Amino acid sequence: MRHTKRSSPEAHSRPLFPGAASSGDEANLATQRTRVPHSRMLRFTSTAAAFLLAATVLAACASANSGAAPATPAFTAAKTSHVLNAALTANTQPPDPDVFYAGQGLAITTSVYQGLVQYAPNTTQHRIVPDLATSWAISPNGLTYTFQLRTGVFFHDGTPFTSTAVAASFDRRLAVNQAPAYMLADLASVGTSNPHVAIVRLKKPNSAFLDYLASAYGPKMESPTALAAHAGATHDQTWMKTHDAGTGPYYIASVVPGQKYVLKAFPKYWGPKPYYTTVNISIIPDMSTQQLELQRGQLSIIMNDYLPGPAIQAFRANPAFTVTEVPTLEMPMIWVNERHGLFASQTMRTDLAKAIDRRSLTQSVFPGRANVSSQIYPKGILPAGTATFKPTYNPHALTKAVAKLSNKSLQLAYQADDPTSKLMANLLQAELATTGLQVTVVAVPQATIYNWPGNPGPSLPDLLIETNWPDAYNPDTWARIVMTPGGGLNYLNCNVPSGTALLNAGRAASAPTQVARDYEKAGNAFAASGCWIPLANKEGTVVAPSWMSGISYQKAVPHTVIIADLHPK
Amino acid sequence: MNPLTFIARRLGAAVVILVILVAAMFTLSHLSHTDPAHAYLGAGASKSAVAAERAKLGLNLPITTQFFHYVGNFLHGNLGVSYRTRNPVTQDLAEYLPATMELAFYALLLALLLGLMLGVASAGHWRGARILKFVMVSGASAPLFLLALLGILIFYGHLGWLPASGRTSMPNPPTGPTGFLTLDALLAGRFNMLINALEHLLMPATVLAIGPAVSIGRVLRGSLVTVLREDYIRTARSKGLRERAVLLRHALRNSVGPALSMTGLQAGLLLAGDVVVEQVFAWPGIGYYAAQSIPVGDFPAISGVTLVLGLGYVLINALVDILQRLADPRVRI
Repeated sequence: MRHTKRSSPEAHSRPLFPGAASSGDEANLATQRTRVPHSRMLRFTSTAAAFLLAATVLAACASANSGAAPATPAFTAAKTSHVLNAALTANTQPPDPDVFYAGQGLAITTSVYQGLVQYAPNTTQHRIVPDLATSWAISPNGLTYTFQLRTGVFFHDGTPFTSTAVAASFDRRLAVNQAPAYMLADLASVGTSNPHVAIVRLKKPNSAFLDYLASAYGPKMESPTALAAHAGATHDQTWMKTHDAGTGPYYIASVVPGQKYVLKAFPKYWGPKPYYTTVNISIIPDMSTQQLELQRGQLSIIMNDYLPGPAIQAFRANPAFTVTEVPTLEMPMIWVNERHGLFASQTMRTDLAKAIDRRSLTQSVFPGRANVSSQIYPKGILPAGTATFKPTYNPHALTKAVAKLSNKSLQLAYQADDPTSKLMANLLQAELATTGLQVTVVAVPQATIYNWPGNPGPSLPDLLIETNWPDAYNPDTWARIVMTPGGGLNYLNCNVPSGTALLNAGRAASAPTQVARDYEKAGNAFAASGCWIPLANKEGTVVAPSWMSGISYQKAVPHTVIIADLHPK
Repeated sequence: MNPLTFIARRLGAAVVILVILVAAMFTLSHLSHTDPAHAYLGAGASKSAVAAERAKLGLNLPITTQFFHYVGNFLHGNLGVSYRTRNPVTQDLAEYLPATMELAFYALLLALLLGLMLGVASAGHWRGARILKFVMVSGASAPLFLLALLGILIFYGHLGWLPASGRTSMPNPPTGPTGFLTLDALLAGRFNMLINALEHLLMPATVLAIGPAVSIGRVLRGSLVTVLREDYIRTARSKGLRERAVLLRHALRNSVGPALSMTGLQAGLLLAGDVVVEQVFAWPGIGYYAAQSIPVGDFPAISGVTLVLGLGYVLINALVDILQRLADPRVRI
């Protein structure tokens, strides 16, 4: 029987560091004797601690995955609070409407700035309605647009909105000359007959011009006084990183760089007063953290559309939350390289389109949040049944063709910062492997992808998978950028001359029927080329506590939930 | 070697390393096949706008000229403009660096404390040493992002003890003078803010500290065990010195050299882990800044962060060498 020596004199007198007495002396022996039961106890305690730790971790994980109903004071208090807390996953470009050309953060610019016209909210129909212009008229030759401006509108600096602002805002956009400036490329002049009329003249007809003005990225009205006061050497770009010059329901109260935007309700706003008087928009990169903060009431809403599928399912199953699918023009798509490699022939490109089970891919990646696309343009831009893209799933033709190839390897790229594209790329890799193709998936940074248009070369991949959306509800704002030579998103430099010519004709036409006909034919030509394989029409996902109401949207682009409309039930 | 000569040599080495880093960053940015002008302006930018931006950025110049411009700009503190934030990178770094330094400072402090506890407890076979070792080794074996996520799940999601993200949840945090929120809150007499900032610090600092603490603890334990077998320790004991005095005045001081070297090494590695931890905890430091810049290929920002981290790593290691010599004058450096 071993003796426990807890009360032995040796146990009390053992040296602090037994190594010091390791020369075989009595003290060492005493120490070793005392350590036998001690180490047993420790082993037991360690094992118990390990189980306890594992149990805690599992319990925590289980709790998080179940989307347990929240009962925190913050969650309860949020229902009556006039403070809305939302989050972005990344700090994107400055909230300057003449610079901002990204997705996340659009809710800030659209809450702070307003344009002359806008898309009708809460409808999937393409309908342009008044915003700061109450009505407008277009001359028969399509060169002159006359806008009747709203009265009683004030900028956030307190100055009234008049026609002077239209010219100043348009001038600034052209002077800043960033990506959204292309929308005013055909502008000839802005005139006025009185402070509440703006006459916009174009150099040549542009059937997409009114859509540009309605776009979330379109020209917004900015206070000429503020612009003049803060112009500096950068046309106000420095100042507008942390301030605003808009007329919207909210103004930018403060910006903590990289951390937080605080919006406050504008007391002199001309429209209905928003329920939430303060909107905190924090940057929280990790979606699991955002998910937990929503569950605990720290966040009031998740509207950035980056929640993973299982998290959305968990929220759907939780009665404390509502998941709302918001229609958008987002379209996951595959770009096919016609310049070299396997898909240089149109037959191979057509076979590739048939070999992809788009329905299965869509259901796997966006369960309940997307439909398979049937048109080359995002759904709703042209009437259903026009500019169609409906390859029938049949992988045999591609399998046969691949069997004859000596080199069966190809490269499939996706945008590095988009986990959804990565998932789609991995699924596509597996699917194409069944046809005999050896697909290598590569992640490419956005800045590298932007360098591809206009630079065709052997280093470009065979396929690229990415999700994009048009700037506006118009075929030209999609096809011109994605499908024409020189287009900023024509990543793999496909050239379809007939499609480009028809697109140009559609933009220059004035008669709506002619415009629609040209755009439809252009779409048919682009679809027939096989250079682009639209996969799905994707919806945006908004998760909010079930007491939240007023989730309205403007369809054209994602991330445009109208914050000013949100309120408790 | 004269200490001043040593410091001069280390600083010289730091300059050489930085020059190599600058050259590497320039080469990488040109090998990356990115178009900075197009990336800056956005996908829809017109050809004329891109051409104008290229000329403005000097991208039409010969590559050697661009390199000398790059080095010249670097020497003048001009690291370019971030494509993403549209701010000068130096301005962004000035905004983000204090948060990283504060987190790294507390993490290193915690790592030293835990490492010391682990080293001393393990060498002394103290009660609870194995549990401490088990917990810390388990923690150090787990990937940082997993540890961070588990920490959030348990201490924020499940227990609600600690906040999950950011530096503070209180409005209007002090903006200076040090950039360390805890210190600035203390200087401003805002004790609620201080406590709130410490609450926000605790989880990310602990996650960051566990790996280095285990390494430090193990090295310290090894050297302590060796030192405790030395004759002078036996002499000290035979003179009747108490164990605490033997430990603190004789054993620990003579054992701390390798642990300090390890601390320097770990400080560098800690900065590497910082990127993941800051991203998960939404900690607005340069790791978070880098993590958001990498996917979009924001090379000026990535280069700036790399240079700052490189400089930090070199300086920390030089500092450790000096401290090592101060701790043990027998060390020849």
